[in-house]
Amino acid sequence: MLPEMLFIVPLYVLYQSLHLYDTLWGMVIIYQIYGVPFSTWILKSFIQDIPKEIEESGLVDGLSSFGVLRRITLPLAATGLAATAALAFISVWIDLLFALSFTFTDAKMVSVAIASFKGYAAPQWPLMAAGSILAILPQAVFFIFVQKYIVRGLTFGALKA
Amino acid sequence: MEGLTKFFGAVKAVDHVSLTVHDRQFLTLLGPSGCGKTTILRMVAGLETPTEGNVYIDGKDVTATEPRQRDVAVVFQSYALYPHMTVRQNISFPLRMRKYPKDEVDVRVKRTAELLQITELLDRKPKELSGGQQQRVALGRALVREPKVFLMDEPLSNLDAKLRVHMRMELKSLQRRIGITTIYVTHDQVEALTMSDTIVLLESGHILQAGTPGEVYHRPLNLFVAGFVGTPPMNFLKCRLQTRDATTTLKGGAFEIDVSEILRPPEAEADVTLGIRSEDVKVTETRTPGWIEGEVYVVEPLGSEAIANIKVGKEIVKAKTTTLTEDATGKKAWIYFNRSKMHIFSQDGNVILARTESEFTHRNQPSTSDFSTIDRRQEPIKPRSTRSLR
Repeated sequence: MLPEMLFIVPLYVLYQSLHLYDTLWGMVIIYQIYGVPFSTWILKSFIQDIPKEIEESGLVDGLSSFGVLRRITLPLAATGLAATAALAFISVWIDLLFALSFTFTDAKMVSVAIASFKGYAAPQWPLMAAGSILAILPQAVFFIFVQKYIVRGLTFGALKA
Repeated sequence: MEGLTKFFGAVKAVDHVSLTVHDRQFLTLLGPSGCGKTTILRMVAGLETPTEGNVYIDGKDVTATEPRQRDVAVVFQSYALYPHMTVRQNISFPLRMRKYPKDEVDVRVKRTAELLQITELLDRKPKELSGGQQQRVALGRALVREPKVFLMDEPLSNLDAKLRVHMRMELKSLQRRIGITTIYVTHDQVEALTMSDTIVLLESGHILQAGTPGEVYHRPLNLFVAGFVGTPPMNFLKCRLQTRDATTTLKGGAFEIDVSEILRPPEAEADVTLGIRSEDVKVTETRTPGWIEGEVYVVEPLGSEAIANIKVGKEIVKAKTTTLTEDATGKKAWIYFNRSKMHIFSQDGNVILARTESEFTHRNQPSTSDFSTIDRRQEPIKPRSTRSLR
């Protein structure tokens, strides 16, 4: 996988021409492009871990293919889904590179806002510290619920890759 | 099943298999790994689409029908219980998915649990159960909706030996009591012999023989079937079938047997294989005229009897014995083949002579061109009723 830095300049040009620069939709799109392949790669291991015979059991027991997905695959992959969701959330929440490159004022991200407390004369440490703690709070709450799934998910991703 | 064929890429897993399974019949698909038996079962269940051929249940073509609409139940080798559900939820799952009323679901689950003696396990999760308990839950989930056909893919292979023996008996008893048409897949010939009404032997995707356990055991149609079924495996001895002075003999490496009484003189000499089961070989340490001399290579005690391995020339012949012990190792012994139980196979592996005490089947003039016409497509199976899986 290539460093994100390589794509900044061409994407910046593209975003300007498409009028996506400094828009929320522009940020949504860039995070989807960046996050979906990564999430798919992680999720693939979890889905593959589900024995095929369990899904086939569902087909024989009266489920359609969509029913198997809803009642068997997704519940069994719940841990993987939680781990992937946590990883995706973190990667987007703490991102600075894309946020700095593709936003200015209208779509300013939390990470950029905290960094901008640096100020012209001197860093505004109190604001920066308070902002950081507020920014951490959503992540902390999320982590409390999914932390055990994340460790398992990271381990699975490493082993399977 | 009519002309069922399945290709996986360039590999032909099933080759034009045609078979009729009749109502309440317990039919076993038996064969080594990779012979296509599981693929056939999966095509009947609808989990694989045949490349060619059709599957009929009760006369209705279900080849293009989804598994849930075929009214079949499958017990997988790994049981495939839903790990996120309790035993009760697992067993009731097929009924709930078909929108059965709750009262009826409860009644059926209770009845099935009592039948399989798993009532006390209903609120547990699969991971809290032993292998035998999981297997009974899998059976319960299959039985609860009273399907037309029961499909079992090596359900006993994950159990320990003692439990396997017990569950063989339980499964057979259950099938007899409930009377559901059953197709059972296994590579274990002991399971097949003890449980089945009919055994279908497969190799490389096609049927070699189909018949009752007795037929398959006593009248194998070819070398593969003869060697696959039976413990210990049938003894095979390379021989030359020849005629000398109006006497037809089988000449092996270290013996010559007069077979004039059981075989007509061949037109030409031919290399054949003599097959004889260990229980049809008599052995003694006393020199006996007319018997074949050999040396006791090793005696394998089995408790009430033993298997004596007798070296005859360069070949080993196994004989069941209650008189020889391990002390006989290295000593001379004499063996006799029961003429009425001998099987003779031609070079292409097909039977020339398979004889039981009450029946005699004989083919004349063994030659390489004569025995390639075994019908591998279908063996007729006696019908019990008009309801059938085909």
